Amino acid sequence: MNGDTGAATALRDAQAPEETAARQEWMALLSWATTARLSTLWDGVPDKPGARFLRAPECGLVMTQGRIGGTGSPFNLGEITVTRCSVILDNGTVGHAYQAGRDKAKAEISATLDAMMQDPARRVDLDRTVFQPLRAERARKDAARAAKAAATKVDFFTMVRGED
Amino acid sequence: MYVAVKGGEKAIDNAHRLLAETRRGDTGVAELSVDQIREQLKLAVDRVMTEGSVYDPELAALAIKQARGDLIEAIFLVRAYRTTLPRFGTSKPVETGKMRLERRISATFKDVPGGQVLGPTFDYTHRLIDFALAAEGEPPRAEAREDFSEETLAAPHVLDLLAEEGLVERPERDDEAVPGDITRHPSEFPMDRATRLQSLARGDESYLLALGYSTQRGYAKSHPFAGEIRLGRVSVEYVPEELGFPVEIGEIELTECNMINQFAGSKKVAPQFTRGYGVAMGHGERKAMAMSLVDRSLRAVELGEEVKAPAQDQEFVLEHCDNVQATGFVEHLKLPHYVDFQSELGLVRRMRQEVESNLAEAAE
Amino acid sequence: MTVQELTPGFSDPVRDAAVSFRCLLNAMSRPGLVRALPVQPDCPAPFNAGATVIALSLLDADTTVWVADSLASPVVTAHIAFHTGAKPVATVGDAAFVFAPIAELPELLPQLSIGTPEYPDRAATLIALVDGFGGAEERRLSGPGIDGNTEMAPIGLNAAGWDVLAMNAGLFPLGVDTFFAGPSSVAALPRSTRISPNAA
Repeated sequence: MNGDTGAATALRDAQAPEETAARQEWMALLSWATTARLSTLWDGVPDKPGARFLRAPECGLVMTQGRIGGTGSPFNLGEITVTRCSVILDNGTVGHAYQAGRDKAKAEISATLDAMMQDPARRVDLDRTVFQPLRAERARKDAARAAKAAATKVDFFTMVRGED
Repeated sequence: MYVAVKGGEKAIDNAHRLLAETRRGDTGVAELSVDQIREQLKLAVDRVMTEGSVYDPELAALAIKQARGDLIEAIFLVRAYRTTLPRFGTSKPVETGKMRLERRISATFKDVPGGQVLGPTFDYTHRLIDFALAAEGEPPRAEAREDFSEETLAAPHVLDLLAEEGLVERPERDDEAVPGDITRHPSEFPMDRATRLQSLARGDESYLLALGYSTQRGYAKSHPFAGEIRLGRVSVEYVPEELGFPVEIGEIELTECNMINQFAGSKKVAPQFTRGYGVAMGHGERKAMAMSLVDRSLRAVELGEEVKAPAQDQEFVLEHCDNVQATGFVEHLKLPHYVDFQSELGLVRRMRQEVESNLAEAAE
Repeated sequence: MTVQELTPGFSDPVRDAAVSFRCLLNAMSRPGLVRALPVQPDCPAPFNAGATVIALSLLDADTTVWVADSLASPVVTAHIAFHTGAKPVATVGDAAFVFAPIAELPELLPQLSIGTPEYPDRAATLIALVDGFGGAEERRLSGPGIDGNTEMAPIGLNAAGWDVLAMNAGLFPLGVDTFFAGPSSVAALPRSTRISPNAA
């Protein structure tokens, strides 16, 4: 384990790149969702599998980095509260959650959903009932915010002064 | 020096109960909820997050409630809370060039790509007290413009466009660089720019405002323009060891300022504009602007300028910018110094006696 | 090795870490006194419970760690990475925490960081895995945290090992602090403890 390589690879199962991209997207949606909304969606999920904690929900901090000048070398901007959780389903699949905030219940639901989504047999249904609504809500909210910002954009018109 | 003084427990206990009652105020008036503070006193919440150096709006709002609106006390509470949490790791640098903009203005280039987006600003308001706010009612609804595309709000950094021509400096970028962390290692001077920025980012807004102002008034060679100010949301990505790929852990709102300053050039560098950088959590425009002025003035040595003003003195600026440290040292003067003062009192008495007896001798 | 083989951490992380930390603090402040572990977590082989408790309580993302090859099984490596986030280092002298079997102590200890006069706290902590205490090579201990004298005999610590530890004590205020991690108990030997031959 001494050196930078061993530790990380020992922890991970091999995963195809498109699988990684899909997982990143659903994990991002789970982070974005509010606790209340996710709980409601979770309540509607049938046949919840048995699961136990590999790592019980835990609150901590992640140091957030910025870039000097916005585009330069990194610097430490300040921390953000993060809650993480890892579960292992009865079928052996492991799910993780890393989410801003201090909500342990949300992290637990998210880790369980992350594990369940890795099962191709369940993915289509879960995507339709849990993730599609979240995806649409996020897009709608972003668009509404952008539309309001866009309304405050200055449309310059030039006034002619003096004589040519 | 302090000595243990016993006997105050009961009084302290009662003082804290009195504090709790006073905090609540007139119970005939509805109690403030943490949600109300978070939503309606947002700029106070943002300041507490920035200077508490922890992004968590609910936590900052609660701290403000507990501190009865004393923001430095609230910042203190947040700083104390963060020490109880483990640190999981470090995020990837946030990319403010991909910010989902809510405001972006430039005082130097009228026709910036993406345009001048004013957003929710106090600018151009008349600063007349609005007595209509004293009455409850529905707020006016913001106008929305539906005829825009993603490109309308595209947000490349304005100054990078000029950097192409060499007229404005471009910040060095080394993604392998591991920046210093003042929460882990004691300050050492001279301090590099990355570490200074961490210190300034959590520094007291009013202190940085005064120092920034001093550079404008001539206490440092400075002739600044607001190259760009932006406000918006960025994704925070973190790579958990067990996953090996970045996960979006959340969205944070940031305010960023790039200030441009004249620079006459040196033997090695042709004349060009230099930059100062400022950033704040949430909406903190004054803080980001003041910080960018002070960031620039602290680069004096690097740019071959003479250090003669307070805002150029790293140790002076950085060792005094933390308001939790500052208030701790100033406010500790309230604690009992009875023994300390007794010994000084004795000393002054002796010295007075000596002077009096000398005077008496001279008179004889 | 897959994530499915990961060993769970503390079952009640906050409480278990707190009582374990208290136990380790007590051990370090009363050198030589053997303390029963307050919790018995699942152990990644070949780590015993003492080493597992120490790893889970003292290591985090801000600490560096080095594990002897004889202990560094994939499951141990994964356990430390997943539950603590501690950064593995290639050179033992760069590590803040070093895990090794007691038999490797004589050779290993002289290579560890002893801190600097400005920052004596930057010295390493050695976690030596033992099978238990008593009935082995014994020494008399004295110094801060010990009322008079006490005796200590970690199983597997031979005369050569004791000599290295005595030399380490001579470096005070610099030097390495050592935990002896057993299957059900721990004891500690900070750098401030003086070591002398057993009176018997």
